[in-house]
Amino acid sequence: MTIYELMVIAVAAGVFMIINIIMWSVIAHKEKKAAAADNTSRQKTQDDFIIEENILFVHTDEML
Amino acid sequence: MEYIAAADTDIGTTKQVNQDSVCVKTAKCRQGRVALIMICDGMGGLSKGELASATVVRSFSDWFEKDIPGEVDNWNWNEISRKTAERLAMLNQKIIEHGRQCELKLGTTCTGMIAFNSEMMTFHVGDTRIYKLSDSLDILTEDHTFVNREIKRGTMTPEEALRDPRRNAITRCIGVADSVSPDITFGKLEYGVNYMLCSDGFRHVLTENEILKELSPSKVRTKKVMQTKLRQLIDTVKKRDERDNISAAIFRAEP
Repeated sequence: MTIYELMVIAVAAGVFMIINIIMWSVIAHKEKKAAAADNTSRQKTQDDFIIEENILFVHTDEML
Repeated sequence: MEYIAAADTDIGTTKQVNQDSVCVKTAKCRQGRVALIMICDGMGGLSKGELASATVVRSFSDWFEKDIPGEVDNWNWNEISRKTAERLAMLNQKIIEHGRQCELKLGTTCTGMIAFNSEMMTFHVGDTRIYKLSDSLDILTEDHTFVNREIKRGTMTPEEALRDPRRNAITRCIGVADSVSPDITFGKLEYGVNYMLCSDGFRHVLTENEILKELSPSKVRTKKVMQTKLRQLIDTVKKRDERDNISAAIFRAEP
């Protein structure tokens, strides 16, 4: 291979790496946002669910 | 719409341990009201019945608090019944496994109802019962007992069943057989009607007329009166020398 060809391969590899880094950063950011929204939604659902009567009669402290 | 509920339990006059467990939970959400009412009677003749019954009610109590809030947006009775049956199957295996490890036999009945707005589902294994008290008294569950099976087959009369030494023998429960088949029914939750769940110790020495008279929906409408009436009936049952643990819960929906 000539030096020129090796340089082209190196540049292509570098561009490929940069594109991957950008792409996976965007994906990670979006997943983080989605998880946060999911948690907020779950928390809101829990906040909207108000227990009014809460009776539990059990006669042992032992648990399976 | 409002849900009103109360419960009471008593060790009774003879037993060393109260093997009954009770769970009554109601909740308010944007979509309306949800409730879980259940009674489990640990098997008296088997060891650690109180552990079996407590395991079941704790599991359903957790489910109500942690998972039911996620169901209310798209309430689906098929999903709820599937998850109920799965939970009972899981608990059945858990209790059986514990019994194997500790060389014990433990088990429990399990009878409950889940209500969402004006609909309800019942799930049932054993001889704990659900009564519907309106102008008349209806029993919404069928006892999974040896004598009830014989009565249905025509080999025993109800009068013979009362005296039969096997009258307390259960044919289905949680924690004994490898698989469990709960009876699951669906229906409308009627307003102004009292639903009463109880262990067999509560009802052995009370007549149906007495239950209907004392817990009539026209007289027993508030939580305070429910609580008072349940305690009065438990005291009556104890005076009549009932030997078993005694538990009952009442639930009512108002528009």
